[in-house]
Amino acid sequence: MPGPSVQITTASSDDGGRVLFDFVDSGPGWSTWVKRDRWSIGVPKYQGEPDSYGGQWSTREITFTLVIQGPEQAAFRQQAALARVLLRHRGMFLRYQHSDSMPPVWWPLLQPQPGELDFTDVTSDDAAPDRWRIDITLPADALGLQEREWLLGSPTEAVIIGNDPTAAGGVMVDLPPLRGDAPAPLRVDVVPSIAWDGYRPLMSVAALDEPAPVDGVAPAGGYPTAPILWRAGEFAAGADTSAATPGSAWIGPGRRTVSFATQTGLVTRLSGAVPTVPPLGRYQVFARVGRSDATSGFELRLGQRYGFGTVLWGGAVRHDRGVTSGTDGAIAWVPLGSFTFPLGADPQRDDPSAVSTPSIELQLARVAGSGSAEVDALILVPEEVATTRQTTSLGAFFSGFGIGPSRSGVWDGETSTWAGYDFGLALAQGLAPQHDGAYPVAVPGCRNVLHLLQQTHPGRPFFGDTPSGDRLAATAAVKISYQPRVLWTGGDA
Amino acid sequence: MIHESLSLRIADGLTDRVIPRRAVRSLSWRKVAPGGWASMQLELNEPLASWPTLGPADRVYVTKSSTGQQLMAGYVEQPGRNAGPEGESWDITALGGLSLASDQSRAVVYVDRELSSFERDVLAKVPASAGTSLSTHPKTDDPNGKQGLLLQFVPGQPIGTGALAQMSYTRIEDAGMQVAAITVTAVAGKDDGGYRGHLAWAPPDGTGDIMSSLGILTTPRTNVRYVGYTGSGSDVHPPPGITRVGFGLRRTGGATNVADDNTWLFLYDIAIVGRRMDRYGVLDVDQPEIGSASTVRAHQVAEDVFARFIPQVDPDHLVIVPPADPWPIDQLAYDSTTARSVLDDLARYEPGQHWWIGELLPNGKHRAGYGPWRDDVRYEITRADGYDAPGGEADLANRITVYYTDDTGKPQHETVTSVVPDLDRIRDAESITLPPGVGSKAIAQRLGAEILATKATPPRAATVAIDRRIFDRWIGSWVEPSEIEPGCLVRVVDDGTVDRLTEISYDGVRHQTTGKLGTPTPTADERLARLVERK
Repeated sequence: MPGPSVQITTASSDDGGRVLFDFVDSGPGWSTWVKRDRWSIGVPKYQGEPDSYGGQWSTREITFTLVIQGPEQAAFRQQAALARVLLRHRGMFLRYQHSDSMPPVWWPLLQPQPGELDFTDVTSDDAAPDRWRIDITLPADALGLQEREWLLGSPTEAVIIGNDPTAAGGVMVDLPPLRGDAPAPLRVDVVPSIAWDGYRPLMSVAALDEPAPVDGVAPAGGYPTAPILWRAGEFAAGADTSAATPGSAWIGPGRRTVSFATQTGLVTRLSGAVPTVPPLGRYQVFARVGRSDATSGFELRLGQRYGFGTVLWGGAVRHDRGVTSGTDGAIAWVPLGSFTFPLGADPQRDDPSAVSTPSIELQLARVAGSGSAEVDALILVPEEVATTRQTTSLGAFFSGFGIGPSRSGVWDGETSTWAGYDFGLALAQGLAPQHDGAYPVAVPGCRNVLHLLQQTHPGRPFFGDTPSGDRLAATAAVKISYQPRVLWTGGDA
Repeated sequence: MIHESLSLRIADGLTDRVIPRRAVRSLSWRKVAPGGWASMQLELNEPLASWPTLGPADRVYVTKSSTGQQLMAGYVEQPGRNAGPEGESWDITALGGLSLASDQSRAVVYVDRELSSFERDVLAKVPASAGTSLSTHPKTDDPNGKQGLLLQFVPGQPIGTGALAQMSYTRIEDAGMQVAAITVTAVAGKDDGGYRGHLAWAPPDGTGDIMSSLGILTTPRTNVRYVGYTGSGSDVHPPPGITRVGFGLRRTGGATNVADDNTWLFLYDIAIVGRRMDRYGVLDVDQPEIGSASTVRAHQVAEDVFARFIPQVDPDHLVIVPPADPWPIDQLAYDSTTARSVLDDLARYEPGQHWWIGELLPNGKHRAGYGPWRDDVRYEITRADGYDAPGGEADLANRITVYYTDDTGKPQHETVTSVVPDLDRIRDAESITLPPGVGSKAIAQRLGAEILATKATPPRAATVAIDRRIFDRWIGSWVEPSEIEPGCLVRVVDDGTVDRLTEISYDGVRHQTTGKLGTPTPTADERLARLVERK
């Protein structure tokens, strides 16, 4: 029965990459193997105090003894091949496969540490073949990797994520369950249906410690399966604020127009109890704002009411798109900041099962031009709710040319790098977007919820006349893959 | 490796990368109030080839992984590149927005009453016999022995029509600025329709605004002029763009021999206001924008400072909140200064206000502001948060005398008092003497009040070390140590002590924020040392 396969490779995949050294190998008159009793894949150690929060894992050390048996020439050749690999720097993986029926695991190697060459069994006696023993120490990342898996779509087919938060599959997607033992960085491949020149897409993955929805129904007390959306029409109108009027660019039942006819300053335009009570937690809140002309600019802020009508205000934010062609060109999800609902609650300690309905106020001022502001909805992207294990959120601002229908963008969390590909094939000429936040990470055993907002940049676009507004009908073709992270050898293939 | 809630990004113009967490060996930053985001240090295990051109134009950002919220950003200083037996690594210091306030040094005049900035004009129309000097009133002790400009035609000397005795103010021109407003009071040795007092503007050729159409008068008259004035009135106001002004005594009658020694004009209470910018760099024009013609307000100066010294501040994200009752500043002019030192000086007039330069926005400019310290508590901590308050010497006082020399060179003093509940009698603080040249009644009062304020309660300062989530009452959320900002009040819940958090240092590996509560009181000598710079 063949034993485990142990190799050093240049990639953490059997596709591409090559084998630099095979520890279990043989040739005419010689063979190499790993001594079973000395084999250890090591284990990472938690570096903080056991009760500390957010501590880190150390690297691990894989140690074993390699035996090279055979005539001098073949043995020396193997030793040289091994030495070349051990003296090499980084970019190597130890591929281990327990048996043909089990999936391989790759440990990303750090600088190897060559051991002594042991001559004990080197007798040059014809009766007993010469055996060279070498102790090998391979420092490696804490966790091993398994072959890439497709979480959303496949290598050839993408999943379409719409941009209308009221439509099924729009803005928010529940990712299927992951394999592996530990959080895995995702590789996200996006082809938008419109050019993202001047766009700042935001992708956020919230890993929630709760069962996955069944048939689109969230578990009791779990996070909803559709984005938490508060429509402008569901609040009481304040000064100079119209009723909701529908339009193709607007989330149903339409936007409310703030004319600033009597007051241009920062006064309340929308207020009242929120129509959907969000699960207790802290959220990034965005307001979808456009304007009636091509030049006006606004300032807005969100407040939460508490006790006796007191309002706690978030910071004031500008919606100032400069001169952009078309009124739709100005629509953007304006980041209003981070808010906890209900106000003051602690998502890690408070009982999330019963919360009262938050009440909010949205204020708008006109700071430039003479047009009206138009607001159709607010959306909540979860940062921390009671079940949150981890949230990663990445804003990618394409200040000039972005990706588009013929150019895909690939965000690879494994290496924290971005790349653009023309027609998904050739590496594109183009500058990386400006990133805020961290590359998305999903957690196995958790419900992973992806939010994708297409335009969250309320400032001036680089190309003034580009209609770089948020469009409801736009879509993004998304493929997400990852390499499962394993502590020992993995297995739930 | 840095804490999992952090994400580090380096942009050097060629690449714009999020750095894998484990490549970051250490990361820390410091923020102060007043001032804002100060500096950041980090060590990276990355190949030296990663950023071949990394230098002062490049930026480092730290954001929160869960939201992308910016926690710190800075400009890279000349980075340390280390290569040795232990491998290649980077040692990077990055300076936050605060450093921009010290970048540019220049002269600036907001309001100037110093007579030493006047010089005699050398013009064909100014006869050698014309007298121009700094003097007190030549005849009486009025007005209170004030120093002024004395312009005179001396007896026995012949003068022609248009002859001048004139002095010009040049400090604003030397500072590369323009004049916004002028206030001057004139009084003459006699009533005489054959002479006029006048204001002249560049070129100082003796033409300009007649201060009194009646000729020179023995009754004092105060003249106020604004550049670009469009209101009603018969006075002629200078056009925008003037950089120097002259004050002159002009012979408008026929040629004569000066017969008496009363042919003089005495000018005093002179204030020259420099032309300020608004946040967009647009210069003020006309009375409503310029405001007072003899004083400036701290928030007006702050707006100009941000626009003039720090173009990297985004005017659309600059917040200027005036104090409730702005103090009129009567002397604020520098031969060389930085934004930081002007803004710090403003705290002397408005101790209730502070300034900050913070977040680096996507357009490459900073959020900044000048406004009041908020008086509602932001963070709540407990003694368990590494609270350490060393004791201090109680040195209470409720009265102080400040000695100074006024612009006539005459010694003056100002006694300032305050109410200290713990003191049931008058107790004097050690008196202070202002160095010559910086004295004014306003400065003496302010300095006195400032020193007394520090002596009203026993000094208190403490440090805290926070390595857990704490509650932020301003935003109603629990926040990570990395989100803590200075410049706000902190309450120690165990005993209800409330103190201002004036400085924080955050360590990204230990995920811990060390904060300074309360400001260590500067000594009177330190305060003086800062006043010695010529204002």
